[in-house]
Amino acid sequence: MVDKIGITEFRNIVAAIQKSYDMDFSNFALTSLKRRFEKVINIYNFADADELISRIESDKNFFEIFLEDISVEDTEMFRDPSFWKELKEVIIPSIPVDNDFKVWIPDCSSGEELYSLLIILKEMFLLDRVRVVVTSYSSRCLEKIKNGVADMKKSETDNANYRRFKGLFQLSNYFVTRDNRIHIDSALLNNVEFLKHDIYKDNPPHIFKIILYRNKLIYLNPHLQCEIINKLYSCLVTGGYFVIGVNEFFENCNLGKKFILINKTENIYKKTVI
Amino acid sequence: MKYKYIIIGGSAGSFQAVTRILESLPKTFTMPIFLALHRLKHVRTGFVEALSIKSKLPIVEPVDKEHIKQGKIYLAPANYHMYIELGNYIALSTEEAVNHSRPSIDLSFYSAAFAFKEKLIGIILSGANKDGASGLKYVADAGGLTIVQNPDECQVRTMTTAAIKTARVDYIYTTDQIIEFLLKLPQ
Repeated sequence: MVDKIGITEFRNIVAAIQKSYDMDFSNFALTSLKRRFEKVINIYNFADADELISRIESDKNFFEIFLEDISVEDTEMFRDPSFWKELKEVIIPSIPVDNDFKVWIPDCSSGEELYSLLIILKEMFLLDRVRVVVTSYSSRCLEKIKNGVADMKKSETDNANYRRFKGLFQLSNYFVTRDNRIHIDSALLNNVEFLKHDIYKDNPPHIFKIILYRNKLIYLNPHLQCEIINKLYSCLVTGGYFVIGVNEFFENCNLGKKFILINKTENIYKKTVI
Repeated sequence: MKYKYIIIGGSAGSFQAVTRILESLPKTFTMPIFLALHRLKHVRTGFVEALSIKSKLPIVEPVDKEHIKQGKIYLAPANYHMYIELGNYIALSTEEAVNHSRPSIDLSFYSAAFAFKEKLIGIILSGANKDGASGLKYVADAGGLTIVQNPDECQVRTMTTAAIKTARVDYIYTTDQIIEFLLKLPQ
């Protein structure tokens, strides 16, 4: 088992991905990505980083699987229940419901944020009035989210979070059993747009009223963080909301008064007129 | 002045030892200290306040990419892993739980050992699972100094005995001895 890789090997992997697939991971936070590379090397029993590199370069299908494997996020439904409560009681009601109500969950690698949002919209009778756009650079992650299989290992946490959020029903109301597995009710997904999109490279797909970008900045270095914040700012309507994770921070990006922090505990920002 | 950073891991039964260590350190203690302590993941507030009551040094739950400063104590926030990055700052992560834990002691120790190598002191306190054992091994393998709380003194011995079995341990100390050791470190 390869225990650890060094900086040189790490950089070689990043360079190989850049060269073969034009995807740039060089401004990602080092430790989490390095750990994922080490993990992939161990899962597939590669002898070393070089063996991983040759496989990445020669096998496009493997690279797709690799992209899913390095998606680091591991979250819960209704993580930070107080945030979801705020979203339901304050943020969404403050937005006029017109034909252009779009919410974006960029760089999404698992379904929890999406399903939580859809349940809220359902409980507010807004499911068919709000377009939710989910994007990821990994088509496999998108398939997984679309397929909606629930992670039963986490159901206890998910249920506890939903109770703290004070949802109207039971979380189980939104799930159905199909092929011996628990899936999110596919009716919830009817108005969701799934789009393969590399936020680090591509232009934003639409203009949005809310962008949920919680616990994504943590995987980027400060330079890329600011670049992404500016990109997300550019596709938000004036008065639109931008949400990051509770321990995330981008005040070093010199954005001046482009955003105002309207909820400090939940890190909810609003785009201002400037 | 070989050692420049301290990282402490603990779980069930470690609160008392941590608070005693923190209250014993003088205001002039400059080495940054990282605390990777198991905690309830849905309770975001209260822990840093409880630890701060008797500490003379400021304790913070860092935001992502916060710069590491002398004389400051960094507590891993609820439901995040806390990494030390090259370039002297902290990164947070929501990667999967390790040993059922987020924050995970192993992951914080792993990153600190990589960043600080022989400049790091790693300390494992009382706890009820084996999180921290491989973390302490990373510290030892990178040339750092390793200390484990004497299992006889621990409310729960699982974590310390696992660490002693897994890593090269330099000292097995009671809380008093750990404090005495830290106070003698040249600043």
